[in-house]
Amino acid sequence: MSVNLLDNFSSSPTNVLCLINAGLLNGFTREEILDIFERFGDVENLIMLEGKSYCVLSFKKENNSAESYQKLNGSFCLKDESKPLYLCFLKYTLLSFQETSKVWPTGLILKKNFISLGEEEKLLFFTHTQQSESQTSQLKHRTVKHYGFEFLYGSNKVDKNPLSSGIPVEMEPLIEKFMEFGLARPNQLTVNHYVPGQGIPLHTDTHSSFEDGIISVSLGSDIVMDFKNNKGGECVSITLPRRSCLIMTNESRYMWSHGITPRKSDVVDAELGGLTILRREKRTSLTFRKIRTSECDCKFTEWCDSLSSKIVDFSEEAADQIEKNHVFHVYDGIASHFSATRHSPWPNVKSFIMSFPVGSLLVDIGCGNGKYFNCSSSLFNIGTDRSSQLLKICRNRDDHQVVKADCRVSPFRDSIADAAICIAVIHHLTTDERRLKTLIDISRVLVKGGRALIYVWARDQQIGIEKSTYLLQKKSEVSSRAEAYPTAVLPVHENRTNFKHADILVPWKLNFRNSNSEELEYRGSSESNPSTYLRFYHVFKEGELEYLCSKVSNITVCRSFYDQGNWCVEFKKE
Amino acid sequence: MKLLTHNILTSKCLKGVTVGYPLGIVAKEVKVNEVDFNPEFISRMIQKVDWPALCKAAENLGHTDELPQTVVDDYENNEEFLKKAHHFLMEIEVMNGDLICPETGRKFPVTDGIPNMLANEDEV
Repeated sequence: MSVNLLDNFSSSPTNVLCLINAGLLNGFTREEILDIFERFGDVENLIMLEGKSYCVLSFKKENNSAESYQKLNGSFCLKDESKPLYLCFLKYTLLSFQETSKVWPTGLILKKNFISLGEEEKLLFFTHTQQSESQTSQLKHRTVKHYGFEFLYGSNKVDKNPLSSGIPVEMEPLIEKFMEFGLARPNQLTVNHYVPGQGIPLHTDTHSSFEDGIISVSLGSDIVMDFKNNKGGECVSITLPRRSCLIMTNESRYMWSHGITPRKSDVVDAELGGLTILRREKRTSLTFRKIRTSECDCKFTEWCDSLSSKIVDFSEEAADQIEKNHVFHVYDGIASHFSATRHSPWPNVKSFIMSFPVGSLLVDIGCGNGKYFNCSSSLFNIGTDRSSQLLKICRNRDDHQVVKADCRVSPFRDSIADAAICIAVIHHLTTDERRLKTLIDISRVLVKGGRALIYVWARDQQIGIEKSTYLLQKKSEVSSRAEAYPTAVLPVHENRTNFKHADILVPWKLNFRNSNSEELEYRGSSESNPSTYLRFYHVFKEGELEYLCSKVSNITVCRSFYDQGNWCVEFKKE
Repeated sequence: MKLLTHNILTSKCLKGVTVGYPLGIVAKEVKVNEVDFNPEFISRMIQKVDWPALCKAAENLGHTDELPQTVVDDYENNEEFLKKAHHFLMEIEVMNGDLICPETGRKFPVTDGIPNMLANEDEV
């Protein structure tokens, strides 16, 4: 806010005073100013502006301001400085300025007075006695000690080899309080000692290292912590009072950076409105974290290191081998049983197909048994698939136009198809690169303005309270018994349960009545049960498919949605 | 494989092949399936069809000079032309034979109406 003080000066006394050389910028607190002036009468208002070396104070009565002017102006010495305080009268007080509305990071929880003064004292005493012991490191800006595991500043990751000392028992009362709030028991603690002037650079704790819910307890001093949205870039400063507990969850944990600016005081909101100065004292922070043992499953993929590292890094050869053994051969083996159980088109796919005008060309990449061929007779459909058995099923039913091809390199001319569907296909590809290549090839085949619909199996089989049809499927259809697959190259998923890994083998139990002996020649590597095939899946987490699409040039995602256990994207070629 | 499908196929998937179009046809078995004639559908399809490639495909199957060398003007209202186009695009099916890459001569077999456009690992 800009203030034109010159227009506001008054040569005669008023109830409004400007303190010309005392403000937030030169380190005055609200309390100090009020201390000086409340001796003269009731102060109506004190306005302190960020970045200003003056402030404006109004008395309820004009004679109070006149008296303070007489007594203080040019003679009252400010603190230990030699300069006296200078005052002048203003015609009117400053209009109450609009505070910039603060954004509060989603998922950030601040619990004030989380511990009592006594508890704080005990913890401070304990951490200070520990400080002198070994394993304390003096960083450029502060002293740090780790328990349980070492937090590696620099990479913001954790060293997953446990330290000799776990979280001290002295922290147990605190931990019990966390658990009362439904937080998981932490197994890593970092103690930071800051003296005034010290800080910590903005950082986000690495996703793959720690679970959701990072807890920070402030001891000894209030502090202002800065938060910055990694996506939008908006910043917000939040005062963490001493004895408070800050819990970073969700967006605030995964998508925001946090840090402390190195300085000796902070400008903060005063309790009764306006701003004031908060001088920093020695502060000790206790940061509790829980080490992640599986991949990060957050939805903030752009900031998630887990997304790249969690994908099992198959060599090209291994990737080919897995796709051959656990996708192509499996589908050839289970084709007739698969086809018999996959007959009804999904409504959202059907309505996508129906949205194209007569004479449009639709390519169905990974057409399977061709269940989408009959959705519209006014389109020309061409399907591709890797499985000869499934292609035969398509061909023998109404002479559908199908071609055997790899989904990454469709054998079609550039810019020819008005519509493309790729339903439940790219989750069978073993690497991110292969999945992306398929999307790029689909966009190559589309005409400008053409649209594609992509479905992939979701890692989340339950959104909210609604379970997917996969989870609800009758147990009688398959044996629910968990079985051992000693020779499997990847984790084998237990059917009708939520997914525990991104890259998995999913059993397909062949019903003997629907199979023939020839089909059994091709098997996945389930030696224990000859009627079970293991299909490879990469199950997608929320946002992953959109993220993949964002890497494809000249397409725009028109919509993305969750449909019965699948993540789905419709995109348009620009 | 209908000739409309053939008209859309390329052998670009092969390493070093830039256009791979149109694919030559060596047919061992061809059949004709009657398909309902839809003038609107065929008119729209003609806009997508590479006409010289269709003529060449027809020629490969022994139908020399049965199709005009270019798309006639005002074809939407020319039922005779549309019916001819319909017959070639929609009714003639190559059941068995080979598709030939124009740049490398690589053969892609057509078996029971299904072209196998899968390249070997060393070809991509």
